[in-house]
Amino acid sequence: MSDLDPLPHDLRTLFDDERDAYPDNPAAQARVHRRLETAIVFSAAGATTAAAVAVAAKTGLLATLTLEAAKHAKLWIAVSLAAGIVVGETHARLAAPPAPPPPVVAPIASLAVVPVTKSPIVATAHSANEPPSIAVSSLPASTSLPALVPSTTALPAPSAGPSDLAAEQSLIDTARSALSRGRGDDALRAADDHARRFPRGRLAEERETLAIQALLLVGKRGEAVARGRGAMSRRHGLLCAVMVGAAVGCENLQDLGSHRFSGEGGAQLPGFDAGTGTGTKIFFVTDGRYTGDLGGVTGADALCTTEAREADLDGTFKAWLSTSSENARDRIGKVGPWMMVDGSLVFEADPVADLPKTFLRYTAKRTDLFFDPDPNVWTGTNKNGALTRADSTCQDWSSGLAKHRGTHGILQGLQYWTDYLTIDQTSELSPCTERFRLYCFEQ
Amino acid sequence: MTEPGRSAQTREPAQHDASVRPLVDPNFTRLFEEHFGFVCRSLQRLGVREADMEDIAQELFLTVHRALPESDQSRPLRPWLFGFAVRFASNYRRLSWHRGRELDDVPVSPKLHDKLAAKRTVLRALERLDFDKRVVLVMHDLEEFTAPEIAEQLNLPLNTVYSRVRLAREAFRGLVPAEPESRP
Repeated sequence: MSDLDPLPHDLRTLFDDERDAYPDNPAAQARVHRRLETAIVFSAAGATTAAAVAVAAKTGLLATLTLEAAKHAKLWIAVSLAAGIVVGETHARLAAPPAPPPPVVAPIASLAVVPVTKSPIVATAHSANEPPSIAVSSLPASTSLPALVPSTTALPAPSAGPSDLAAEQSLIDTARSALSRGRGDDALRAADDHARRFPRGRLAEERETLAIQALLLVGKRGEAVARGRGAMSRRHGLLCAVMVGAAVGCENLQDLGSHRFSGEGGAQLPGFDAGTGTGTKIFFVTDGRYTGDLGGVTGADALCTTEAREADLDGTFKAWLSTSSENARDRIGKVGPWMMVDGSLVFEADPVADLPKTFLRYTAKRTDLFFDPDPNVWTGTNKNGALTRADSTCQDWSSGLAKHRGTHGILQGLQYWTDYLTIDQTSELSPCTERFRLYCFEQ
Repeated sequence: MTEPGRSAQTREPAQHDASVRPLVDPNFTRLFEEHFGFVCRSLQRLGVREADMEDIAQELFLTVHRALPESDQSRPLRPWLFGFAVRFASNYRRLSWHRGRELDDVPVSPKLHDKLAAKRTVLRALERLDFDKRVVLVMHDLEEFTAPEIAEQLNLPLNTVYSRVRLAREAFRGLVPAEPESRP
């Protein structure tokens, strides 16, 4: 058995013609690229979680995190994020030789990441469904935090003569170096010095990031929380949120994917965006499937909140449902971002401003529904976040009868997440006897 | 259809402490721009509906972005990307909600009549082909990957690739009219 015969002439002609029938689609390419960019930046922030875990481990915050717990979920999420490995995915490249360890944190926004050590936390090879067994004690003792330095091209330079920048850099280097040696107080001193001299300097974001790491290192979690709330930019806020949230949450063995942790004095994390006091919120799909008789939207909201509590998530949740008197977009609001419990971003702010950033696949307990045979979700809501039509709400979600109808979305399609009729306009509305899921948004 | 060398896509050398990287790795952005069309075409040939293409392509590239730092930069890029397309298309076929939906009815403009008729003919025949055969036929006869590249990517013995391409051609031949439909 060796080479193949040449392709017969008619097939060759057919294939040549076929190849020419895939014109470029710049509009689609631009749309996908824009959505990808957001998702990638958010993933990078999620990866930073691992760095926070490393701090927590060194400072004893993780003292109660046993190997067993780490195996089950918490550390696994952070470590897999750090290594760029997605749960449930196997590496497509079967024959690839061993690759060098990836950097612990991918670049983010105007911040760039420079691993301080050559061997950061790296997940070991593992099968898709088996989290790597990494004990806290096995984390590299010398693990240092990645240093975050602002891109010199991305930030304005309010005060910036060359000598100022050099002075700033020197202080930041001192702080980073102290941090990498585990000397939080020294790092804080350098950061404070920087804050006094260059409150809005070019390296201010990095200073704040280092300061938060240092505060965590010396056990001042409340201050770390407060400092995180004073985020200097939206992306910086996100970074702080993930960092601080992870460290505080780990102590309580909460899911690293969840971020709504309480700091000292009951302060709530995270301060995502200075000025608004809003934070990253959780989105999930219900594990339960329900008829159209949800007890009205109030009952539906309660179902969401109940599932959240069962998964140890705090906060108030509302279901993505429209009624004859209120549209879903008004019930939920536009104050995101929302992410799933795996740490992936789904909506940046307004759920109807753009398509979801990734498939809406996880329950509060992190069950992946992507291949579930029941991907339908009650919504009564069109892609604009408004009531689909008057008869699409199972009598304002109070009827489980076949004579009433409702509309639904599908969690397996970004474009159809809230409105299946978009793709299948000939289909009937679903009878309210059907058992569908709900989308739940934290408020 | 030229295959850009992988070296053109390689990441920058190891960073030193003072170096700075921007928002999204420019190598990834370049890869995305150069291969978006290839990935969409591959997904479509492997059975992803045009209406779902952007969704699936977005997830695929997100995965590629994560895998890039660990990938072997010396290997050809397109077969590697095609491996992702196979996996995503295979997963897509497992999704429940679109089963039974008809193939996209490709609109035919007079200018592109022949080309689009050929596309429709090919896609319809591919749709009825066994998935394994479909993959090798697309790789070998449409994308013109070499048999060793296919063998490596699919982790198959070389002879298996040859025999599978032969069988795929035979089966494909049985599924298309002698001349593409709608051709004058």
